[in-house]
Amino acid sequence: MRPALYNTLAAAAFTLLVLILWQFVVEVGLVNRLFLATPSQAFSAIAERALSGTLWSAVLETAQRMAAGWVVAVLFALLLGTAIGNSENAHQFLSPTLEFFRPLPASAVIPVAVLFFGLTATMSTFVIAFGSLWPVLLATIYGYVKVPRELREVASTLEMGKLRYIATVAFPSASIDIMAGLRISLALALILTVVTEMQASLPGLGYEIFMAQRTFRSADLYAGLITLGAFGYLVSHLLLLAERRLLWWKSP
Amino acid sequence: MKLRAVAQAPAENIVEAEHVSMVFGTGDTRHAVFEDISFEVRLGEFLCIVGSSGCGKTTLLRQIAGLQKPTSGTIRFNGEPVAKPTLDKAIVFQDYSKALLPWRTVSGNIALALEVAGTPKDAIKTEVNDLLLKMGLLPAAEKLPAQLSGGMQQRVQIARSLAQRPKIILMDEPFGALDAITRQVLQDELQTLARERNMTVIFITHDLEEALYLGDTVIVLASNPGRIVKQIDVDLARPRRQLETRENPTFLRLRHELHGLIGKH
Amino acid sequence: MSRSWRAIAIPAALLLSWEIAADTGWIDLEFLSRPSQILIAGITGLTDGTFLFTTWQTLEAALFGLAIALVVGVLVGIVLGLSRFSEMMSRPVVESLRSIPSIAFAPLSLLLFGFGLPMEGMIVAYACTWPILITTTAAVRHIEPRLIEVSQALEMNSFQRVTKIIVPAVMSRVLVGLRTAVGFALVVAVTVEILINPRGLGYGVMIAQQSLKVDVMYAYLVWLALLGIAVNALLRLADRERAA
Repeated sequence: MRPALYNTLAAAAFTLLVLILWQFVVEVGLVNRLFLATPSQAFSAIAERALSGTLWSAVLETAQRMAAGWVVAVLFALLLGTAIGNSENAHQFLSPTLEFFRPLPASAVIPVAVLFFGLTATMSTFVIAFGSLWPVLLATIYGYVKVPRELREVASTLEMGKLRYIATVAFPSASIDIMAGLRISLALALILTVVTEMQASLPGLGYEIFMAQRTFRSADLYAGLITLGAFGYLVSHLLLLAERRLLWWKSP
Repeated sequence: MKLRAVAQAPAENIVEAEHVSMVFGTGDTRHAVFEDISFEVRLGEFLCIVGSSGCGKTTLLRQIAGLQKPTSGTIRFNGEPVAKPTLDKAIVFQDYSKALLPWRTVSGNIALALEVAGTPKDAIKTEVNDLLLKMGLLPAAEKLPAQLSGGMQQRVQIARSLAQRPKIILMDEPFGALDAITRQVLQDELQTLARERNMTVIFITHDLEEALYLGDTVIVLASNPGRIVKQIDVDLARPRRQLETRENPTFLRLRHELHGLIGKH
Repeated sequence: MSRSWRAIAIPAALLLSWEIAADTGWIDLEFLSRPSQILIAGITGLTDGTFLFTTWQTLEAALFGLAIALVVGVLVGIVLGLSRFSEMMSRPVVESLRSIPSIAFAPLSLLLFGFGLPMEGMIVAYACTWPILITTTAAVRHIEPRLIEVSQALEMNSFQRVTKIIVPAVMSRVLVGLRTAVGFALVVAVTVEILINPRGLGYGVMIAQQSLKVDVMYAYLVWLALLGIAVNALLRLADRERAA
């Protein structure tokens, strides 16, 4: 049997084994049904929601909210980061202050946002945007600062204007670091979306999980977790595909 | 020992360095990278500057290029003081991996110089092809720099600097990171290129033999502080060959003469 | 202007104009407070023990979670690293679990453990296990073959090889994963506290906001940033010690 096929089957078998074990543990009563639904319950809950449409609307809500905050933040961070990263003065004046905020947990801005916006969708979008901004901003600045001296000097020897230099040399050079920042910010955006949904009872995947727990519907809770996991995986995979496309030249 | 035929018409000086110094601090903290360097480079001349590490030869080259400024003295290019880097003064760096754009192919990298100059697309294509042919890079035209050997990458750098149509090429230990065989191959390619195009080259190296092999003139820099210890005309016929020239009595004599100078300082 | 002056020029100017704006009534103190007030709130919080107490609560949860994550991550990581087959077999399960943001488990954790330390610690543990697991697996998988050859050339026995070559080589890479995990631990703990768990720094910030003690809220944020810087600095120090 071909190794690739063998591996896939082995992985499938193992996964199935885990699911069976999980089912068994609950059926037999080793774990209280209240805390742990069986996989069959969880998956049928998912199927039910998929058919009734509630699954898709929840996914859409979360996706929209996340996208709104993340995209705005990324665009802003790229522009600002490009400006700061390419100006030695701006870099020296601003970067230390910006670095100060790096270790601050993004979720810490939630109370401030609640103060200003209350428990609303605006609060959520603000938190998501604010949190997503920092990793991209800092990574962008860093990427520009890290452009090899030789490349910069080649550009000045070729008498490139600043804008042309940024577009043809600096930005592609920085793109690796920028992409790393995007990955981090995307994961963070998902977390903040889920947290703010739970906090403000906004419709979405996080909210579904939250409500399921409150109403002791354990099947729905696990269904929500699985759905969220799938969503998260899909989103990060999309970014990976984009990276492979855009950074096709990167040597691994 | 200058052996310049008197009947030769005075050639134009493209680079003139007058009492160039790079000195930091004063008194006890005074650190002189190099002091009081003066020399001229004629149009079409292949000048090699040789010295051990720390003599400031790279700094000097960068000042000629306009990337740095000396603390005192003047460097003139084409009669004008050097203010900043320009297309006229092409630079070939030692670290080729950092000097080429990793996301562009070989053709793309060479084309960069032409794009900036605003050359029309078809003209770019033709010129790039010419250079690819000239530098033996045709088979690698669509490859990325990371897929090439060091020697090939350095050829790309040279091709790109030629695309600039510079008046002078400044090379900072360009073959230093290459293995001995590739180095010799590239030395000969460079030699041929320089002769064909009557290129003016300032070539920095720590390898005395390389300097003597390639140069019309060799300047020896001492270190601590850097200063010109000796300037000689290399009276060896061209084209030079790896085996014959290196066994030539004049070559050996010059080698002995200069070897002592580098070792001492 | 020297580099260090440049670094503080803008923040200093901002703080000053903020303070002045508060004086002239240009800004709403109920939302923005003022630097002097925030400073006082911060000093008060530190001296009366509340900041230190809540910090300790958060750190407790972070350490609790890190300890579990270290044990589970290293053990499973070693197993997966040694057997390429097991790594591949378990990949779908591992990747699926890893895709779920740890905070999503907060309601479940609440259900299982109720409010308090274990609930938070378990979520931290979940979040921190993955970086440790992945780096351990990679470390075990990629022990430099030269080192093994050296151990063979030096005719080491198995015990010597494990203790002198394998463990040190693996540990240095595992520590990189640990660094990431430590970064996560603090953030995850604070997030859980902000969301639902009534203990620690996160809860402190939320309470300050809810009781409209805005100055205390901002003071907490500054303290959190300082804490984060301190943790990073410690980690970097540990790195240097190790490299020395």
